Amino acid sequence: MERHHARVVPVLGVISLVALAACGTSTSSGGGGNTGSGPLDSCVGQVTVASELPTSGGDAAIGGGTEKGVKMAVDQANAAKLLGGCTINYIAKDDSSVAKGKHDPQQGAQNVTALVANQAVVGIIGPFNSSVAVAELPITNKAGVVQISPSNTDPGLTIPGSDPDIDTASLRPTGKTTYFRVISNDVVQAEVMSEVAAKELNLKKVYDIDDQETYGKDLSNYFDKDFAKLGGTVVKRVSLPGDTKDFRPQITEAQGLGADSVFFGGVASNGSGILKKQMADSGFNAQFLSGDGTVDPQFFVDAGAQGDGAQASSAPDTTKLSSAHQFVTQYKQRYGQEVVAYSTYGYDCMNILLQAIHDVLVANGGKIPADPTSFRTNVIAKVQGIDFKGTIGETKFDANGDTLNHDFSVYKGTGGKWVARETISPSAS
Amino acid sequence: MEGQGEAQALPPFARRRPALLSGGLAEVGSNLFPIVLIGALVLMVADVAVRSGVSVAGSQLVNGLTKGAIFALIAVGYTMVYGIIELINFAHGDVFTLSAIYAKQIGRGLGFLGLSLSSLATRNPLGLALALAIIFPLTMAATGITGVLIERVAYRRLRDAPRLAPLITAVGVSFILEGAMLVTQGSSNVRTGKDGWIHGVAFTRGTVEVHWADIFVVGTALLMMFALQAFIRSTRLGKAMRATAQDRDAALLSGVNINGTIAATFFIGSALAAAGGLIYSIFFDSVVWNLGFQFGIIAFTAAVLGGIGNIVGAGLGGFLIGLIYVFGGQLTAGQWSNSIVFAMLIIVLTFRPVGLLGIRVPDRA
Repeated sequence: MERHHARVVPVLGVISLVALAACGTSTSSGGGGNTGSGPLDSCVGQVTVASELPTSGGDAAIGGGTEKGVKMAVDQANAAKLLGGCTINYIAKDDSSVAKGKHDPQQGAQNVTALVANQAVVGIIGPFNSSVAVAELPITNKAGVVQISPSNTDPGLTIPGSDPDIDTASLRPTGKTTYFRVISNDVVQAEVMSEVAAKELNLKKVYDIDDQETYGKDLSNYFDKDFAKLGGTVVKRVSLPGDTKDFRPQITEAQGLGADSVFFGGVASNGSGILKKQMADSGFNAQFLSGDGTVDPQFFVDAGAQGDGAQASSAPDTTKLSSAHQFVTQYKQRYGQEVVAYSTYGYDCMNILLQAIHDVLVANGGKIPADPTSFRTNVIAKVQGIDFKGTIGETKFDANGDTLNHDFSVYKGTGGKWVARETISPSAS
Repeated sequence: MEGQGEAQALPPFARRRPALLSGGLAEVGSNLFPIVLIGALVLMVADVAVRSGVSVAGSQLVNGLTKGAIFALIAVGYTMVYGIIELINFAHGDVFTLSAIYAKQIGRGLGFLGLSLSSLATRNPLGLALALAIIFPLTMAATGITGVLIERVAYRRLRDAPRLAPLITAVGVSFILEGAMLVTQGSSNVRTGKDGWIHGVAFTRGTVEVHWADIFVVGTALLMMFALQAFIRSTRLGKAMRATAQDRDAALLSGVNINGTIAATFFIGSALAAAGGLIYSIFFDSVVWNLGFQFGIIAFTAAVLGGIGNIVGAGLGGFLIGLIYVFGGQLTAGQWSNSIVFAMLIIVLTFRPVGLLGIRVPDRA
């Protein structure tokens, strides 16, 4: 069902993105909204929320920029007295470990174990990476604490049977949905990229490299399947460890096999930029394709000017959405830098959580529920039922915790930066 | 450490093997090992040649040799230190990374003084030669001094301690170096400012392109190793190093300055790792704080493969591991590249603990 459904959404998603941008629809700008004098004026105490993202290590650029969006939501809600007399306390955790130098599932599991043990914590934004989510979800599910991810795209996290490597049921030991995500999944993303590759760029032979992580392997799997369905050939599929620095053996092989494109299923911290640079250095002019894990400034640190021309799908460039305009401006004022691809997603995640908490407090007569367990449970129910208009558009969740918003767009390396292409016409040529 | 009739004694881990395997099997495996290894490598190359064509196999040969050259330069440092004080210097891989960062910083420092090495190096061949003549000695000296300092601070006092103590200290030094690089350089890959120093195709055989950078990497590694070999064979200090490796106490009694000799060993080993770090920076123009972990441990495998303590063996082992890494990776879609290298380590330790060319270590302890 989901797969069939997913097949039609890329085009719809793109159309809706373009429509949103073009019409300049003015949706609520998020920020929690100032509720003014209201039912929560008598609220006393503190509500604790948390984020769990990779903010140091190889993912620092993208994870840190996401966390900044999360933090802005908290600060704005506090300033606007979203919870009336109650204040919001925010704990930021980092799942990068020194051992790995980037996101680490072990570290993530430790972080959420500590967070759920803290009775005050009612919800967690994160994690960033699907591999980390696999380690974390059983813990938060058992504890009954809601998790909302800005960026996890592995379908197996929510849809049973969609990823052979993930036992979705084991991620929900209680059988209840406690995990939500505001971004669509890799099945959709792979379809967007395979359509661009096969139909628009007219590519025939792809050499596919994954980074041996949950996210990368699956994205490559889906891409291979979709690309083959559209008449393309996957000349070879290889799987390389994340610390690979020398891709020349694979480049040589791809050249030998006559590949006209290279797909990288993986994140920038696992070497996509290095691969692109070495392709250029070897004089191998195949089209470089990848997914949202590569749409990261680190790609251009590694690839330099040779990163130009690469194409990758990612979450829609929300800086172009009118709904995100205010946030993007405020973010720049506050941090002195541009938003990263997931800043708006982090911001909306936290706003959704805070809105849910607000609704729980209102339903409880303007007081913080005395029993922390029922507080947590009620927040989950409110997140499940939310209809939130934020920077990334409208977010509603299905029973699995997936967003009903299926937007993705394609980015191209241009002048040392990822630039979202204005329109995508998958059926062109 | 050649031709002096030094003892071919096994290190402790190796010495226990025959007893464990009750002789026979180890004996046969030991003698067959070099043949089996070379045979396996030839089969791998043939497999790639048959399946992907001779030109792909040729290009992969170049890829493997260039990778192997860097492993070889690092392996030499491992083997020299092991040969002389029987310490597996786990910090050595990080010294390699550190040298690339030194090179980057020296380049920047000279830039502030108004000498841009990069624009010099990319101007013409003479400029490149000049830039290399500036950056190589400076980086090698700086890294060599770091190696000496590490030995002085972390290892010297533990020289007669149980072997586990310096081993753990070495792991500690490795973490300290990695931490220092993480803090100062950040956690992501950094560019080393040597983009396009050596570029272009030197010659083409069939469809196999050999780039100038490939020739540079392999040539530099070979040159360095020949120079080292000549140094150890024919200089006074080289003789002192061989003597110290053979029997430290006897060397001391014969008037060899043991501390000085060991410091010199660390200096030379680190300087060679610096040569490796430099050619790596010029080749890839990218370095990351924990690069040395992987490179170090693979280079260590190369040293064991060649026969730990044996300098020629380390060089040979480096090149062989580079080839095995590339061709083995081809056979297994990349997934097993690392596994193949470490399986090799286990096989060597099991069947031929002396390595390909034999161990050269002190005959004591």
